[in-house]
Amino acid sequence: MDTEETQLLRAEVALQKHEAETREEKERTSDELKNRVSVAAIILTTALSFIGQVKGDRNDAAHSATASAEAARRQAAELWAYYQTKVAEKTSLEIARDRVRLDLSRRGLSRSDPEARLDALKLGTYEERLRDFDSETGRVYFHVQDLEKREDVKLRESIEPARAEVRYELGGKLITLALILLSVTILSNKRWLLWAGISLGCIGVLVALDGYFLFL
Amino acid sequence: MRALLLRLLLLAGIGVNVAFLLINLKPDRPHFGARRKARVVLRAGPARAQWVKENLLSEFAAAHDVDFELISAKTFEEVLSIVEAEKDHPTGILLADINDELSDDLHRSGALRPIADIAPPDELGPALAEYVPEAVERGRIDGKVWYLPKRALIDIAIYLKPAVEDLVLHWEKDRPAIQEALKEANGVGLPRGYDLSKTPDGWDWFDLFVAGWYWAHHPAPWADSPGPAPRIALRTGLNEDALNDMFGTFFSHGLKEEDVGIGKLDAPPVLDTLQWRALFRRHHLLDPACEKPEGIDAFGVNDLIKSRKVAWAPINQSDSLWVHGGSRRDAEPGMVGATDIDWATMPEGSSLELLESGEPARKGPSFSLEEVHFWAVPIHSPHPALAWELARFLTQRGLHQRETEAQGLFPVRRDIADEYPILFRLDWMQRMLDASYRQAQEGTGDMPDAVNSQQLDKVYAALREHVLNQKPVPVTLDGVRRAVASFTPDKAATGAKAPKPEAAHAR
Repeated sequence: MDTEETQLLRAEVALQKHEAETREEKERTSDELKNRVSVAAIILTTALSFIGQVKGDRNDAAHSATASAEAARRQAAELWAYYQTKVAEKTSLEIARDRVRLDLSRRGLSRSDPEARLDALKLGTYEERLRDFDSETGRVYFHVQDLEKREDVKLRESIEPARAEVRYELGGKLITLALILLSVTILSNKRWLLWAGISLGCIGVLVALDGYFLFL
Repeated sequence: MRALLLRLLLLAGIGVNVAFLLINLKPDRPHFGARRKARVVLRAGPARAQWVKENLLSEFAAAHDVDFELISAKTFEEVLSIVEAEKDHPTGILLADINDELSDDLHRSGALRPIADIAPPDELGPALAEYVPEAVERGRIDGKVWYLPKRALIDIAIYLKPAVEDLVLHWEKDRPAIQEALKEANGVGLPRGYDLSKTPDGWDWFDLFVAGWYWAHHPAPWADSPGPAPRIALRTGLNEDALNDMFGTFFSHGLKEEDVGIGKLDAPPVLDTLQWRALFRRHHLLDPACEKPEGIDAFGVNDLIKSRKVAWAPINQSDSLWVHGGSRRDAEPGMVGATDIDWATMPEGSSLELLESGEPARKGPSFSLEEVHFWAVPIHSPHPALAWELARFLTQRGLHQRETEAQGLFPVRRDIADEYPILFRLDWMQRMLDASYRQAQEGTGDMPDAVNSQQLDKVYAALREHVLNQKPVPVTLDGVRRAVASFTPDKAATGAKAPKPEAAHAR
């Protein structure tokens, strides 16, 4: 018969064994959780890195299109300023031409009269320069039309990358939040936090993927 | 089970990363879906159709994976028949271009679905707020939005400045002859204290007669052939342009919509209009082409003004750009010496008959018939949501401005209408739009429904020809009244009205 002491010892050993098993189980579970968190974190971090890069690309594309539009707008504005100067010049020539014509009319002469030779010469010069102004301003106008079209098209071109960028940004933020949850999972050893992190990460990935497909 | 799920998640995670890696290589939105085919019906000549395809549709096609086929119809009647045929035999027409005159017919035929039913409800209100309210109203039927405004056209007057300058300086020498000619018609001559308005913007029919008389009797150094010749053109015959001219003049002489009808052919505004036309005919003040039995449409009149054969004619914005030229790089060359062109409102109504005070017995405002063009969605449109998107895309600010500028139209977007002096910086284009807006303020309207539905257009056109073909042409009011009384509406020409072709500049 075992003495009472032996029984107590056996019970203690059994308890210690049970505790060791429980500890081992806990450690195993904890390791498993850490492994899963690590794998999830690696996947999400890699995804986050790629998303960051593609977001940067979209950001550049949107800004480049906007900058092109702005450059076209500025160039068109400069050309119009040039056009305005030319128009002012043209107006002064028109006034000069009208003065000669009014003067001829007042003197009762036509431009073919020998007395009006100088007036006719001046009139011819003015008229020729006015014609030149017309063709030159026409060219400026067509160039401005091209620039305005470019501005318009570039502005529209910037819309899609900007939409994508917003989605990549949101996706990236969700994934960052997921990574924070995964970090907390390790500290707290709460399994549900792992799943919460993975779920949030999945949502982030989906949102980022919509940045590519632009379904929504 | 859990292990399997975890493995799947791991695989998915790796897959996602590979996908993002590939996305990094080509981050533009992919075009995986099959390209859709869509047909768009447009009233346009080949040149305009090509311009629309290159400048308006191509960008949308690339962004939405659509292959567009453009069906260009020469007339709105042709558009009407295409869309009506589409109802029974769908061929994939996404969107069609129609004018307000035929929009009711199209609606009645059941060949359309209303815009209000296909536009997302939260988008429709803000979208409509972008257009000029009058244009939106014309697109409503029984309060429901059936059409989306596309563009508008208003007839104004085009003239050559040197011709008017010459007229203003020298017409007085013809005063006695003009007085005599008018006296034959109204027993008095010119109104008391008459003086020619210095600009065609303020002209009434007396002024137009004075101008026509002077130009027809004097050399015209500004013209292509400087000898004396009639220098005014009006659209005549049985075509839409001619009917617009005639009904516009009726309304400017005070005709009300309720006065349009077979039993009311002797309404004073109708008689006044016919008396002026008769007087012009008696003295042959219109270009000979306008006096031919078949008449002359906008094509012909545009050619006359472009070739500097006439000095004054009615014209719309689109044709104005064709006559002037230079609205875009690839535009046809316009008139030689286009700087001579200017625009004005149509003449104010003024009866030939004078009161004892020497004032015209009846006066009216300047008036012009306005035409609004719409986008319409056929009942079997294969992708109604896409149709809405396309219609909105085509009327967005930048494109609408470019189309207005390049093709010539009266903008239907409120922002462009408000800012046109800033947006259209070319002086001549601004003057053309200035005249158009002045016309819109002074008087515009659409053709009464009865004219089309009861075929009164043919009746009135036949009445005009009946009066003008009298031998001799009656020029007194009584003479015109007798000629009208002898007209039998049953004998009105039964030939079909010649439909309005695509704007001349887009041939």
